[in-house]
Amino acid sequence: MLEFYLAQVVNGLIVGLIYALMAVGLSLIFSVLKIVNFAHGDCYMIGGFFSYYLATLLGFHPIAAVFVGMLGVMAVGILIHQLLLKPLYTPKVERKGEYAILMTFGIGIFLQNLAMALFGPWTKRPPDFIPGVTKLGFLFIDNNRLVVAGVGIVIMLVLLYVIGRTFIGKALRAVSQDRDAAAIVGVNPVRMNLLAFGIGVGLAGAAGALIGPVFLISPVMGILPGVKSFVIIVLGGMGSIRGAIIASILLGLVESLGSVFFLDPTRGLAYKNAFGVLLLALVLLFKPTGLFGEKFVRLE
Amino acid sequence: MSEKGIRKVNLAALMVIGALALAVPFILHSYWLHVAIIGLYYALLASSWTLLAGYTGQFSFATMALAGISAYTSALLVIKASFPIWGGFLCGIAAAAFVGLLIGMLVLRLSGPYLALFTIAFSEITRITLNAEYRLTRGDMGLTVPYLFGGIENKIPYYYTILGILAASLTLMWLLLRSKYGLFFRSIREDEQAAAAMGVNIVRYKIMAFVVSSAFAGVAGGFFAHYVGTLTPNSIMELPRMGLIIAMAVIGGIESLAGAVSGALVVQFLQEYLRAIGMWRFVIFGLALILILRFSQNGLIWPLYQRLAGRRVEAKTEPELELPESPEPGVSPGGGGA
Amino acid sequence: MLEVVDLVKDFGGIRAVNRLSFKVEENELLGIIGPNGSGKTTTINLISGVLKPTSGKIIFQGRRIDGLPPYEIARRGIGRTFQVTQVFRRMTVLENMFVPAYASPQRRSDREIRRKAMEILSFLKIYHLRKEYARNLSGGQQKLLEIGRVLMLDPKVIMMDEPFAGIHPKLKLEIHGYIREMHREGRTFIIISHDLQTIFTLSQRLIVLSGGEKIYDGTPEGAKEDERVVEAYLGE
Repeated sequence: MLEFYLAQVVNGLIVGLIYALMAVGLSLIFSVLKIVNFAHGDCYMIGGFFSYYLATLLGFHPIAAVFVGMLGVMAVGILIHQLLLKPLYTPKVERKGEYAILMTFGIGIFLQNLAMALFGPWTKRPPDFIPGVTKLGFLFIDNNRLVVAGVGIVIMLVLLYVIGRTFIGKALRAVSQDRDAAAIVGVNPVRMNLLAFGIGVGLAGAAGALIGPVFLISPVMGILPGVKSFVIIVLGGMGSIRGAIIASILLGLVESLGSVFFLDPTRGLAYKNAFGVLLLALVLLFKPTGLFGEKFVRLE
Repeated sequence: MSEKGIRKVNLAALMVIGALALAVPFILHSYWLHVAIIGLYYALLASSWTLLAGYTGQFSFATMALAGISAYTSALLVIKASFPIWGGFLCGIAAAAFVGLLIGMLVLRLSGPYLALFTIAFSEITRITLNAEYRLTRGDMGLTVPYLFGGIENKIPYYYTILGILAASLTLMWLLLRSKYGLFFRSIREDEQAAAAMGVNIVRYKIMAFVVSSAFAGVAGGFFAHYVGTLTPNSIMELPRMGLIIAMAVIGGIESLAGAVSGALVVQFLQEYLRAIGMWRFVIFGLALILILRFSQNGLIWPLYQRLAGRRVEAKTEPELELPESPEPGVSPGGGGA
Repeated sequence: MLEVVDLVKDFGGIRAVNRLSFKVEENELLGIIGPNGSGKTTTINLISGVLKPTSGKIIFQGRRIDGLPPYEIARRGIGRTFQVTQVFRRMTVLENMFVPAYASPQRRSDREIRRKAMEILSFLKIYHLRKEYARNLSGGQQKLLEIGRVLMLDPKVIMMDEPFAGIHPKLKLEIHGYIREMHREGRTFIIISHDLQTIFTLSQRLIVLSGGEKIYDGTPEGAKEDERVVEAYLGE
């Protein structure tokens, strides 16, 4: 029995890591652009499909495909930003809050439908990163999950390094705190928006690419993880990266352990997805700024 | 064109559309009649969303979930408690309005993206719960619901029912929106702080907008339950369907009921007409949504009609009263708007 | 008619308004000045209910109004304008004017409300714009609309937050004239301004705030000679 719980904990941590990649991306976008990217789950989905086709059609090694897929999603993000989000920061767009919500939501719908049209509604199974299982003590862990954990941790560490220690990171943080002041000291806020959006959706893409061989991919795979990454950034405090990581791991663990305690396994699996959402509802009502967060800043 | 002239054009357009709508069952048959019925159902949902989002500025994503709550309330009361269908239908509307009231009270302090996040979360909880409680709802396998008119072979009664429901609902919404309440809704959309400083009880009218919009979503949901016969949570309230409703309202014109209705009907018609291209039609709708938001934030169809009808897009409905003569001699009555 | 007693407002650890007390008599024209961050706008926000005081009382016509929601205070007859003009942009000028009239607890007929709106718009010389969308108005016209909208409340007290900031000198004179005229008709004014020149000529009485405290209360002429006032402004 202990093995079973331990296995659930390991699963929870791995899922939590995937959530963390997504949520950190969403949080980064929020803190710099001051918008919620309602297309985040769909960026995760296209990450999954990019790396699937890179591996199956173009013969990339599945692990390399994750990185190239991530770059592909970044490119899509850059395109989205230049064509559709950049006008938000000029007087051209009125009712900015409304525009940001509807536009990102619309982009999500568009990407999802595009994936349906191009790839069909069926689930696909990407090739294994490394086939087989590894024995760790008395636990048997699927090699794919180990790769997810390893690659996920590497991406996360690189990101934390970039944000915490480099000039780019400093510039991003400066813009997130005060756009005008950052502009005065010579940081171009629009360029930082572009960077934050590119990295942010790239992280979601990496998460989707990584999860492919474990959970399969389909055009609707992004909906629930998208909603959950909203949950996480609210729990962790909108715009707080540390908060997003902690909340992601917590949600991963709560989900994988929580569903075990349901007597009826079908319901357990179904309600597993509702936990986080319920939590979101409660936090929004009682502490809208989240557990570690900054106050929401209006765009107008 | 003068205001009176425009009013004439509008009236004529309304009469032509009304006559066409009444004649539809004589022109379309079976499958296309079904398409028309679903189109009217979507039109009701899109206008209920517009009342809340377009007029009051509350971007809620819970419209479909509220329709679903009404649909399941009605269906379950009829099946498990042997309610007559009209009884279930009314209880369904009441349930949707009540849940709308709760949401309205809960989200008062939330604005912008927080409201959107909360309502998306609420919709997902509702959908997941209805799926999980499959013993009661039969989840994805579908709940068999008694038909409004016994069967579905003859769709004509359903068509006239939803047409009547839509016409009545639109009339009620229109009356509400052109009254002082509509004025308050729009002032809240424009600037909550200024509205409050002008004496508008923003708490009360925000909640009112939620309740009214939810009740109309409930009307649509109740009809749907007793029309399709087999109800699944996903067939009403999955998020992509909410996206379709929003796309309809935005394409039509988010700031007017007529825009929402025309958007819903046009999109629904195209969706069937373009069936040959499969999923690509939804790609086109998604693209249309994005492009319209980007280049014509006020929508496409309704502003286009207004332009054609000779009205400046800017100058919208003049409020209910006729202008009195200018209050003092010597003041130019010349208007900038008309 | 309006009395503020020992008003305190803290934001986190910062005290924005400190034990502020003053009285405004009926039909007075009171100016409030002070350097940046002296608590002027906070005071208006406290009186109009946008902010809740940390402690202290606000009494209007013998009744306490602190803690009431903003709409309730507006209905009792205290109107205000904002530092940055806040008109309802996607509503016509007339619709802007109707909002306070229909929100008011007094029942007036549609015809009466309309006539009143027309009168006010003519008074402010923006009658010809009545059917325009507010967002199509120039900045100065929006400012006038905001004043007109407050008048629709038929307020006993009008509080104006920086009515002269960032507007054309000609319009400044115009607004100056309107305030005088409305004051002559018996309304009470509280005006916050940075524009010392204008406020000195306009107000009957002046309160000077500094660091959230009242450092002067008296005639405008007296303020010019007051040591603390001079110091507060020079020390800025």
